[in-house]
Amino acid sequence: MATICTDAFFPVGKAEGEILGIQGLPIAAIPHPMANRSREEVNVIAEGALPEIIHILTTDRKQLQSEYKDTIVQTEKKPSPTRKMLFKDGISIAAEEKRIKAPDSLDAVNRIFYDHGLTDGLPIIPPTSERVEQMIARCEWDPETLIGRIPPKDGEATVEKIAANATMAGCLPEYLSVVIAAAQAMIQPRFNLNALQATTHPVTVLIFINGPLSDALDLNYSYNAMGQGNLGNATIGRAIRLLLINVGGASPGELDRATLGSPAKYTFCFAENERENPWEPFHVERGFSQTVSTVTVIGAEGPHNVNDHGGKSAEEVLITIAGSLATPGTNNIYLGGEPMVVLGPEHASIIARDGFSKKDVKAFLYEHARLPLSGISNGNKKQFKKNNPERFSGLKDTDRVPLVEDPDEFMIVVAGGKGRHSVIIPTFGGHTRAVTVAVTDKTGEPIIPEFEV
Amino acid sequence: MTQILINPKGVFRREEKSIAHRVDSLDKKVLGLVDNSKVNADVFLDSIQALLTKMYEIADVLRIRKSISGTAAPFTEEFFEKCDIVVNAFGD
Repeated sequence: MATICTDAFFPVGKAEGEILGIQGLPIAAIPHPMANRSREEVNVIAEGALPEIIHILTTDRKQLQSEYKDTIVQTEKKPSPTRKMLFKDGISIAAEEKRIKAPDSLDAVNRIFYDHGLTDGLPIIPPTSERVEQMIARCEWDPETLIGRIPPKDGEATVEKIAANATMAGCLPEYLSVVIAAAQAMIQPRFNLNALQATTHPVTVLIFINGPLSDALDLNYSYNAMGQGNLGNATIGRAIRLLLINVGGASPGELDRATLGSPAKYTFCFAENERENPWEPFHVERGFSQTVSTVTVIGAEGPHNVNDHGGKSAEEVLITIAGSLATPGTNNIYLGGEPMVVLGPEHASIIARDGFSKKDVKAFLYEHARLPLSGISNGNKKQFKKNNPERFSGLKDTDRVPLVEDPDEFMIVVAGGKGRHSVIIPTFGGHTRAVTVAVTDKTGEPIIPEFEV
Repeated sequence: MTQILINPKGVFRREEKSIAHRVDSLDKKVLGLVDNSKVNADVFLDSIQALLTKMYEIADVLRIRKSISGTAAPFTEEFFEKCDIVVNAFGD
């Protein structure tokens, strides 16, 4: 096989080959970008690449791998500078080493970890063996238990690795089972984590929590639920990001190719306000008992606010939400998926008071969260029709495209404090699906907190 | 003074693999084209197909296209069995 990559993505192609165990995957590089080129320009580029393609298809494989092993395609005038070494510490941190001998200094450990790309940019708590052991002991897991492999590099996420990253994030020991549950959920094939990790899109792993553990762990589902100020929300989401970097191997500008990224990539975790939810909680809708605590992972963008102070009826509030959902730049508009609507309790109360069930909300949004085709660029329309003919073929410019294939794909939840605000959260599209799992102990039994909620 | 830290990096275990055997000549070979649906990947592959069929006696051409680039390609048994050579386009 001859693989073609634009020069900007050549290092990713090469790294993907190495992940598969192939040193020196032969890749023919063509100039980036390709999307904006005319047919004539593409033909010229194809003609230019042809000798290399023929070479790749007809040369002895060992010779090819040796040729391409050290090939570097210089793509940009300046390499993407995501991180500069602050200090030359001389400490090597090989993935195979289970322990690191480091100076007994918070500042020094932070500098070393930052220099080695092991952080999200913020200071970390050093994952000393004592702290990590204490965390694992609190949740009674076996440190060597393999929870799974995290793409793109398929690093082994053992309980000890997860606990080390959770410690660095600042998690309390009792959060570990939630972080493990999130890790279990995000490695399910339907979540498609490999694509999430390497894409140019600013998708992150949103951690959404239901059930009695929200109160037991003092997680925030009320005022500022998605904002700053709560240890659990802040550090559980951050632990997952550190896992994605350190165990998954997705470093910004290298295998994490997000064009701009998002502040939500630092941490994005909140719980459902089940106390003020007029309908069944989200995890109950997904088939779990109300007494079970769950983690749902969602391949999500950052949140976008919906301010409706004037609407007095369900229809009025929902029409503003629908209009906010139907924006042309999201992946959902052309890839479908499961856009999330987080209703503030006041909006939820108005909608429920008018007799709307969750199903009615979804049906309303299906009808009204539609984008006129005229709002999409001609180039995108052409591409969308080619890639998703069922959805886009035969439509006129005045026709309106629904955001989802099935109304039930909208995820409707309730969170936040008082105030007339809700939030929409676009997702990566139909090729990632939210995954909900129960938070369990090491035997797989759901963890039930020992108090009445 | 030193302290012992738990390495937060994942262990990456992988088996060394080789790429597939190559062919001596492209004549009388079945060409497979994998289009990952990135904009202009189809145009690029059209061009490669036209150029290769002009230069060589290509026996047949099979083509598959992803509907979304971030998913696995819809390979078929027929594709694997029949194709002697494959061109895969492209990384963004």
